[in-house]
Amino acid sequence: MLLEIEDIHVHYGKIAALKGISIAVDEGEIVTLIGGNGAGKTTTLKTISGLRPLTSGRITFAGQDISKMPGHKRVLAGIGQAPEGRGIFPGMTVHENLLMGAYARKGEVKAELDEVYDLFPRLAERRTQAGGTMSGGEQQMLAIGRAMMTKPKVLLLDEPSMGLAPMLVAQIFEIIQKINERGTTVLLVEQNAQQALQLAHRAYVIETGRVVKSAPASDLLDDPEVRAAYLGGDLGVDGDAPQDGEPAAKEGQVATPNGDASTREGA
Amino acid sequence: MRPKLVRLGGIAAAGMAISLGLAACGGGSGGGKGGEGATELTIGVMGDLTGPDRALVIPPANGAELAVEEYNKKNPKVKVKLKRYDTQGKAEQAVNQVNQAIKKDKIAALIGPAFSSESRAVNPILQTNKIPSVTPSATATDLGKSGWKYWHRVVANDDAQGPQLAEFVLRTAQPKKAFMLSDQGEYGVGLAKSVGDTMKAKGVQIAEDKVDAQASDVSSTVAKIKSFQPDFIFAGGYYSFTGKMLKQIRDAGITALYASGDGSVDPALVDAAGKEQADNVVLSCACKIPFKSTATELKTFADAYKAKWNTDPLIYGTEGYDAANAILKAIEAGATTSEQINEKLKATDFAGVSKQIKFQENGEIATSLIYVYKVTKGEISLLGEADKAALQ
Amino acid sequence: MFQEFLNQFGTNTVGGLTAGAIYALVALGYTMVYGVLRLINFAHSEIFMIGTFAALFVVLQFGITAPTGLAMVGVLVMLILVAMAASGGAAVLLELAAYRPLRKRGASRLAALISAIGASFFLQELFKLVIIQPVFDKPGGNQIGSPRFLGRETLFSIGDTKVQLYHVIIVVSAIIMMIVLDQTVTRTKIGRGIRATAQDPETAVLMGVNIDVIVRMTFLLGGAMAGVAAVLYLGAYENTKFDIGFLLGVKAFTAAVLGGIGNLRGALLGGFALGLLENWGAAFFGSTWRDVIAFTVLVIILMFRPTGILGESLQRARA
Repeated sequence: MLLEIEDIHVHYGKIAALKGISIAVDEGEIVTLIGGNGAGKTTTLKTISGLRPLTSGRITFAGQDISKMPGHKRVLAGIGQAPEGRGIFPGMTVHENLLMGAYARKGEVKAELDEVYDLFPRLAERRTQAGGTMSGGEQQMLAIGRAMMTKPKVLLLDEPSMGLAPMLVAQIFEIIQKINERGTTVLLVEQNAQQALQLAHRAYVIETGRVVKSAPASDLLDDPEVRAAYLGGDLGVDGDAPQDGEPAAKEGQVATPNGDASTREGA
Repeated sequence: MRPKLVRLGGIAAAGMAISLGLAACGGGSGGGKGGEGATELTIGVMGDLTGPDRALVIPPANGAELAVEEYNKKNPKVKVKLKRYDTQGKAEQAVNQVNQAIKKDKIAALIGPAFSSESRAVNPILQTNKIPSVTPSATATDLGKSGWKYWHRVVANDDAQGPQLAEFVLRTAQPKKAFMLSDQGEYGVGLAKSVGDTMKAKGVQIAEDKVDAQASDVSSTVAKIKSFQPDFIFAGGYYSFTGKMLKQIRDAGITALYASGDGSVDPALVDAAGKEQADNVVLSCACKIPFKSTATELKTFADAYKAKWNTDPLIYGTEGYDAANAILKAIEAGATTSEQINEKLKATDFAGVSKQIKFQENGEIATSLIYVYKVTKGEISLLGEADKAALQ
Repeated sequence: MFQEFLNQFGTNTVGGLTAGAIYALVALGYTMVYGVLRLINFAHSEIFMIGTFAALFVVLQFGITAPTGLAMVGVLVMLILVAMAASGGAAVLLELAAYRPLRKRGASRLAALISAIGASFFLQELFKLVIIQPVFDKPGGNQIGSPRFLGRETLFSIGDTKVQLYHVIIVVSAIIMMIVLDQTVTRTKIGRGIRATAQDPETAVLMGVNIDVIVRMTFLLGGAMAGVAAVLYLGAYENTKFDIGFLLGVKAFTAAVLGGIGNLRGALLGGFALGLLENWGAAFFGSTWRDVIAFTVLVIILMFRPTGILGESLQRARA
């Protein structure tokens, strides 16, 4: 296992946010955490990145116990994260934001920069623009690109689809797929369970600070409980699915996000 | 609210009266409070000995102790013990201390309190207990008007300083345009007003400015002075302020005669202003400080003081010595009780180091002398009494 | 009144710029720490005070009196280095002792503010009661004068207004230091770390930024600037005292707010603006009104531009 989380508890003051979560991510996988608001998904990612201290439990990464390692060192160890809300440095240019991704690293960054600009041509066009003035989709690309600049072994993505137009969501998910295919392990937190489950190999369902289910992603897509809770039942498919005529259509290429979904649903 | 407060006040007053009455009764047997045949009396010296203004109180306390030591060396019939009472400059602390002095130590007389605020709190208690006091340094004018029968002071009050300094400058320097500068405190503003009013009455053109004593940049005030082109500048305030102003005024190329009051009579003025800038300066004070004077009585005192305390006598040092001597002379003349000391003080008339020590009926010093000092290239020297001295 | 104002306009402008330069340098420390920690570092005024005493110590120790020409430049550079080290070092220690423990425990910002006020008093009393007397052989509560080390030669005159050497040295030094700091924050890696932490501390950690190091660097840089200010202050006004920082600190903090707290260039602008306003106002209405005028202007500006003249740029725009 590349990343193994064993029975972690995390508290905010006296309130327990995580009550014994165990998750494992193997090299090369895309693993997704789904669950409702406040279930503890974001806290789990923050804890893996070292932004929240553990009350108890253990986190092992690449064979090393990192439970006590300070956050900034975990980046060098190979844990990259595009945080919830994207965390773009508003006063920095796109280029400077990307360079921040290589902050902890010594040596050349050209190869990684080229790769990110190749992955997101849009960012290359906007490299001198201030991060805070970009659109939501561009910011999300920047956040992922910046996380890639840390040369992560595992990329943690927190709600990359949040607030984005459906075509953009599809585009982002496509890029996640591409990143994974190029050899980076991905741990994805999503409210948009439908698409996350389609993308991921395996999935965990988190409710009120506990893992309530773990299974191959495709199994969960068929799981009636999961469908009822997170996929909005049968109606949810339609509700979630982007329709033609959305204004964001001009944002770029249109993927086919729900073609797959309906197929699987049917199966 | 109001009746309750009055009642509380009444209770407090009654309590105080009882405790003081007890204190007064308790002083029977051979203690400091005296009585016929006593062989040792205790007198107190009270003021801010450890607080922020101790620099004004330690010299008089040391001067008093020197006087007592000299007195005891003469092997008198009745020896005297001097006890120090530290008020830290706080009136309520002074009240605690005086109660202790009266009840526990049974003092026969008190030198002090050093400050006017302390005096207002302490003097009524001394009055009730019939204990005489001589203050070397409390200069508030109202103290002399309180009708206290046991109170005396050996310095002129605040009313004397401003007019006398102004007259001195008018007589010796004949200014046409005078600039009244002050910090924003009661003392500095009041003194500047008093000097300015006296000069204005004599036809001198006056301009003024008040500056925050804490401000670092006073260039706008300096610019104002410069454009007014005065031939005399008075600065009301304490030495750190007046020294700082002096420096910047001199640095701006203004060489006019500069004067300040008793708050500035301290070598620290020169520290703040700089040796070069501390020049052509006149300072006034009700106090008389020897400052390397060669006059016999001052030199004798200064040498003895330095031999005992290993430092030069500074502000109110001579007054502390004189205040103690006024009491000591009364004891030497046979007074052994507080009442007797007080009686003898009424008739005191001797040449002290600072001035002739003789009290008016109300306890004020008979002649309200103000002394003037000159600062030349950072050296402070005593010129003499303001109404007689010449400005060399 | 207006005539008087005009007559003294030049002199007051020169004096205002000189005072403003010093306000600006001290304001940097407030602004940087606020930008990174959202904390008003109340003890920054004492960091400045420590710089004045460090510089004074060197001046007295080497018996420096009125150097001229290159010697003066040499003295100035040496004093600045010493005071930067003293103030910067003190600021780092202050952070370590007064703020870091609270930060580690996740204490509220109010607790940090109280700690800051406590540290301010502690440092003042420490100097007053323990340090000044043995080192300078003067009572700790006294104002202590410094020999001259910045020349007073008149360089040129505009009408009645004399511009003296020390005016120029102070304003130029302040602007140079400001540019150096600005470039440090804009161009260097540590500067990027500071800006990242100011803009989004949590994300900065995700970039591998060690917040502890950044906070320390912020205090160090802010403290060092206060050290430079301290030398210039001592050169201009030639005295210091244990509580010298208090009023100056209030003014510098005002300058920081006026320019836009968290904004480095705003601190420069705010410093000069405050210095000029004070002096012009004092000439117009009398020195008693000096602070009233300055603070009235502050209130008015903040009413119409709550983020100050340039806004909160360490966070929002490019620093």
